[in-house]
Amino acid sequence: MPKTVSNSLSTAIILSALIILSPRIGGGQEKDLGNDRFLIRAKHIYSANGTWGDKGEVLVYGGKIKFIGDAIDVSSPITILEVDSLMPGIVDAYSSVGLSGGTSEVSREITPEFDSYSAIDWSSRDFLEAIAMGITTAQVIPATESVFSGLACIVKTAGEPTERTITSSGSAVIAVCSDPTSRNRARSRPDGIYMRQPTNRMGVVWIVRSSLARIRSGGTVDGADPMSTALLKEILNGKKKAIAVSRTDFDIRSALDVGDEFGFNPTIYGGDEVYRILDEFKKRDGQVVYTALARAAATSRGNEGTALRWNVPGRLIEADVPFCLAGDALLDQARFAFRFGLTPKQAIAAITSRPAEILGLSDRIGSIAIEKDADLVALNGDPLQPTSSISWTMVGGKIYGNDMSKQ
Amino acid sequence: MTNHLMKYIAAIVALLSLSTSHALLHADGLLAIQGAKIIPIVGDPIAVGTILIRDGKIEAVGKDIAIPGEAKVIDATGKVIMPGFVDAHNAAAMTSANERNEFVPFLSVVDSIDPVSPYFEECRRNGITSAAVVPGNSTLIGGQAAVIKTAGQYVNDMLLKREAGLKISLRPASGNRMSQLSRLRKELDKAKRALEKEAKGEKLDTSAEIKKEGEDASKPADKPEGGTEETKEEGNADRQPVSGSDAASQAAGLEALKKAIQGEQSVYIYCENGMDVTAAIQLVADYSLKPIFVLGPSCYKAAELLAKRNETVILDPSLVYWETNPRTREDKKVIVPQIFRAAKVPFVFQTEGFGARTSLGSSFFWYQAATAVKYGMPEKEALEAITLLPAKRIGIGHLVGSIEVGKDADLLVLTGEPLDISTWVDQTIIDGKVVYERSKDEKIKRLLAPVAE
Repeated sequence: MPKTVSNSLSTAIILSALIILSPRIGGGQEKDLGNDRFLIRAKHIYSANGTWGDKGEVLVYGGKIKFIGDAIDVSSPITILEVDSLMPGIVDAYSSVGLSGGTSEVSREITPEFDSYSAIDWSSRDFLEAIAMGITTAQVIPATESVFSGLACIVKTAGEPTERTITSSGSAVIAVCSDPTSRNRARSRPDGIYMRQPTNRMGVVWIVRSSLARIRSGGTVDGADPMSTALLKEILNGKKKAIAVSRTDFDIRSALDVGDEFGFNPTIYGGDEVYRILDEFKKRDGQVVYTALARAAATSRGNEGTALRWNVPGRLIEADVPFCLAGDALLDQARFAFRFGLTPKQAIAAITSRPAEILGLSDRIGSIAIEKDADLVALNGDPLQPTSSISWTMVGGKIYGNDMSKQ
Repeated sequence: MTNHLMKYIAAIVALLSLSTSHALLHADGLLAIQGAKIIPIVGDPIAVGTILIRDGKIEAVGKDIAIPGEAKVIDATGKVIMPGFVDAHNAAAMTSANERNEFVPFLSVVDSIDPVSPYFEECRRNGITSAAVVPGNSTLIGGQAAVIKTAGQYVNDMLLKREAGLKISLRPASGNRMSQLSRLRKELDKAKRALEKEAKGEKLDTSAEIKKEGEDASKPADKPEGGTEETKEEGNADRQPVSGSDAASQAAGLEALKKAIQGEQSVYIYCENGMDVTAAIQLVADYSLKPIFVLGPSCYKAAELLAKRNETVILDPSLVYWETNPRTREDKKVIVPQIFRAAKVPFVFQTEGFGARTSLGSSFFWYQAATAVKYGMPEKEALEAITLLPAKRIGIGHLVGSIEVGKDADLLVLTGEPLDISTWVDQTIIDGKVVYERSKDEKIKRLLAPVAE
């Protein structure tokens, strides 16, 4: 164990390993640096729950953050990494990373037990892209073209598949929006797979409601599938957390209404128009994984004609509603959220500590703190500036270079 | 008596109106902006300086400029002033990017520009003061581009150049690459022959030429492969595109092509991928065209070829993307500006307009420039690539693109450094007139303070 002494200038930093000033790591694999111990010296550390912008040192080994200080004495072989800015690994609560072989079931509306985890291609390029964007943890959500779309899972974006998994069978995803109607065609052949309900949004909510009602009265879902039935029971008795994908204000209302009727409180994913019903949303203890910002910069109308607004995150913070940013290009989203009104700290929190809280994982990820997972992102400048680039991303104490290409 | 009174009143009214218009003339004619940091693009930034504008032109710029008493003064203390952004290639100003007919050299975008379209509002809000409006990439020969300012009540008020270049695309609008190139060559040959005849002093009977060419179209060499092309044409005919088969259109089209071959008019050549660049370079050589290369994302593979030409190219809006080698399955992150810088090919940016975007910021020029800086481009170069370089590329470098005496006063008053994420365009000035003020921008207020309406 390295001895650690903080707040004093080091008297004897023993460096028997190499000093890396600016690691250039290619080859697509983590570079074998001889050990798994790192001392990261950062000019600025940005962690929403801890130090903000000050210089500092972070000691990493065994995949965990072991110590944080100003000047850490190390007495055993260690790799020193000098970086400009260090922030926690980014957590994407609404991702499709690695999901392969079709993302939505088209033959049935009620497939709550379909698990996204079993469809993850661990060698997918998605993971490399995620790492290059600083995303270290992702919740994979199946596509929402079936009403009970399936189960989410939570994975790290790098490492051995077995080590990557945080939750293999996660929250139940329910599409309370118009997505499930998009594939169903009322006028197609009556025996075709497209001839299904719902063909409209009323039907979507009806399927949610009628399925849950049947389970509550001791019945089974269509086709009496025991696994589907068991899963819906778990939603009703609170053993399974529910995710409702809803974007318009009336979709969000419907999701909360159904939740009230059946005694659960779904987390809203999407949430484009949550600002329209903010008071009500807060009263009903809503929490939202907000994904509209990924599309908000240029277009004025989003999915389903939702009215896009730039500073919804600002209003959510004002109203003290639990929320996080999610979807594509999260660091960019945080940058724009800052541009649109959040403070730098709020913007970084919205892609790190806040999603960790919503996923119930803040004891493990989302901030730079002792005994948390060593999931870190190093940048060559202020994380919120578009001119700053990611130097490397660390997942579970292993370092992955910016250029992940196998050249 | 009454008559006398009337005269008296008339005199007062005349005097009043005279003085008012005089005052307006003053306000419009002479404008001073003081207190800001000035990034002139040409030359070093001025920490705190003044810009004096007379009748829409920059009269003086510097640290110690005396402001005449009659000048209207804008205090921009703490702000940053730079030239307006110049968009070298955009079809967003048009009501639709391409005519369904793929061969329309006789058309001009001028007839398609709507000055009150939201595009122009967005331009002024985001700092774009000049733009080349060029037909879209889904075409064979798509018509003539125009260069405009982004503020004005009528298209004619906005025009800087009416015939600013002919649009040619090497991406097949229908059929395959062979037929695209063959049709392109056929049309260019036609213009070349016409020019040769004229040079010999032969009187050109346009209608006869056209008739002959009409028959030529049945030649086997020009016939596209299989039936796909014909089917497509039939499909197009159903939707009644501009036919262009009348003599006037044919003659106008031929004129436009002749101008392109003589180098009187530039040619915007869209290349979707590396092989298109090779074909384009051959076309340019064969027909002595004056090309402006508009590149698709994977054209980076032809960077070395383009380097030899020493011309500024227009990059695809998607600057960073991933690709997988189909043979080895290797994944690669492609950073387009880095590749072109390494190959020493000067380039300018495009933005992604409404609709599909590959990243959150790619609809803003400052963001595109920031992305290039992120991957190693010096900031000074990046700023030039959204101002002076595109201005030169589209032939208006003598008018705009830098803050220099004698140039048009197309300026942005920014709240901070141009590439900082928290910087906003505070005011946009075109030809010395303030055409955008953030404090009066109701749309931005709604976006930034979202409430139910």
